[in-house]
Amino acid sequence: MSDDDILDSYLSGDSDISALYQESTQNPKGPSADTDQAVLAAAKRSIGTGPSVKNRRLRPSWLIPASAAATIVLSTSIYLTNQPLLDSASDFDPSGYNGSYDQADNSAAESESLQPLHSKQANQPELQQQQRSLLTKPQSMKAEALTEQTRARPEKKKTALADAPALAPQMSASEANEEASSDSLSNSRIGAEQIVPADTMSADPLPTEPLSAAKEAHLAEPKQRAPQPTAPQALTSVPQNYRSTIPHWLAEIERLIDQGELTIALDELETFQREHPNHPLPEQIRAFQQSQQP
Amino acid sequence: MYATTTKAGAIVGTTKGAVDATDNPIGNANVSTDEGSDNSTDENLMLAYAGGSYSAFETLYGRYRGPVLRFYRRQTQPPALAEELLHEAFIRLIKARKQYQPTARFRVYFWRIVRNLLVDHYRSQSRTLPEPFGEADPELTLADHIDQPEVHAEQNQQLTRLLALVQQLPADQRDAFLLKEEAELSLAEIAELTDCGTETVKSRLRYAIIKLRSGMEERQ
Repeated sequence: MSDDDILDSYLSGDSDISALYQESTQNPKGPSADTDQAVLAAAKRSIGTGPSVKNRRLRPSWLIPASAAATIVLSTSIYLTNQPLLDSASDFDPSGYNGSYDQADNSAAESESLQPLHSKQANQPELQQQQRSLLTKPQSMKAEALTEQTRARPEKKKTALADAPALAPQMSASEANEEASSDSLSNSRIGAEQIVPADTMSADPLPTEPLSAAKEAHLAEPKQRAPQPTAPQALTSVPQNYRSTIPHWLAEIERLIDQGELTIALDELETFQREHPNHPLPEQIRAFQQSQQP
Repeated sequence: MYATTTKAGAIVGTTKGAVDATDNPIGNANVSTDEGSDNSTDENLMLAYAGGSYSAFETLYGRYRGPVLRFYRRQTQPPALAEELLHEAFIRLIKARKQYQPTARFRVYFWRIVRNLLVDHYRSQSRTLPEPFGEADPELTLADHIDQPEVHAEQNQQLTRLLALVQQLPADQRDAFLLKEEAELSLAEIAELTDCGTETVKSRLRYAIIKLRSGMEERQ
């Protein structure tokens, strides 16, 4: 019998060596009782002290994923539900405030806020563009507004707007908005741009858009319109723009002279000299003053 | 023929590892040592034990305690060390119960633990698997066997001789032989456990059988 035959016989189970060895395995004698007790006690402890598979899962395995999914769904639904409000808030344009905010307008603003949001949103882009264009209109338009306000002041119709010439374009813009759209949502808007200095506003780099003829005509005739009551915040902040410093005040007077608003310029000059009687006047203003004297 | 009983005859009427209740050395009725009494597979028993079934572990322990102890006894000295290793092997199984996945046969899974523990033991002593126990007393490993009064004297001598020859085998050949006889693993499974090829295992077994046969024939 070759070696390979011996191996094949052994692997097939027909081996006398294997059979003889299996005789020894018939002996039941195993580990000592102490070893058996130690092993079985360890196994029992592992069952008794250690949590079983069922006990380890106090929380269902799906609880955390389900909670996460529910949180996502809830957050998404809340976001989508409030999306129109968020959009309107992000599109909030304080320049739309037309200075007519007062207690009487509160009720109107509140009632308007109940209107469908989509109608407001539909009007917002157009309104914003109009407001921006009005804010960036050339200086002549501002000057016209200043004329109206300055004239209103001597007549003791001194409203807050009269003390805030720089606010005039905004006011006019808002009035134009009122005509352009029946939606007066912008009436309830009060924003930071209302307290921006006039010189800063004039340097607004936003592109200007031509106004319609009706609106320009409307803006060109501010005298025919009674000044609207304005918000207290705007009334107190705007007049200090150029009158707060002498150079700005003088520059404004020079600008009025250059723009041909001689009456306004003279009025401003008189006001200036009342407050600063000893301050020397620039050559241009001095010449203007002399030319205006009878 | 030096064996009085063929393998087939030895297996008939007694399942390997089966223990008569009267011969139960534990004296513990809770330990089920009759693997034939439970038709559950080893894999199911291990899963049941991982799920908290103590009786499942008892059944597993009853099935494997004998072969594992013999495996260690054939490879270590003194006999007390074999029991220590057996205890440690089952402790490792207990600790690994939660990680057990029935992706492979439990037999292979557990015998890997058993063999790795033996390798770790010798590695901790900066030794490899023990070379032949030339001076070892085979009677110690046969102590359980010679207590049986019904065993014939000649057969007892042959067994004693065979076990002595087993202990004198080179470590790799003895390891392969014992894994085949005690663990009842296939060549591929032995190769997997010992990190070698199937042909290598066949070669080791071939040499082991030839040496055992020649040793037994010389005796006669």
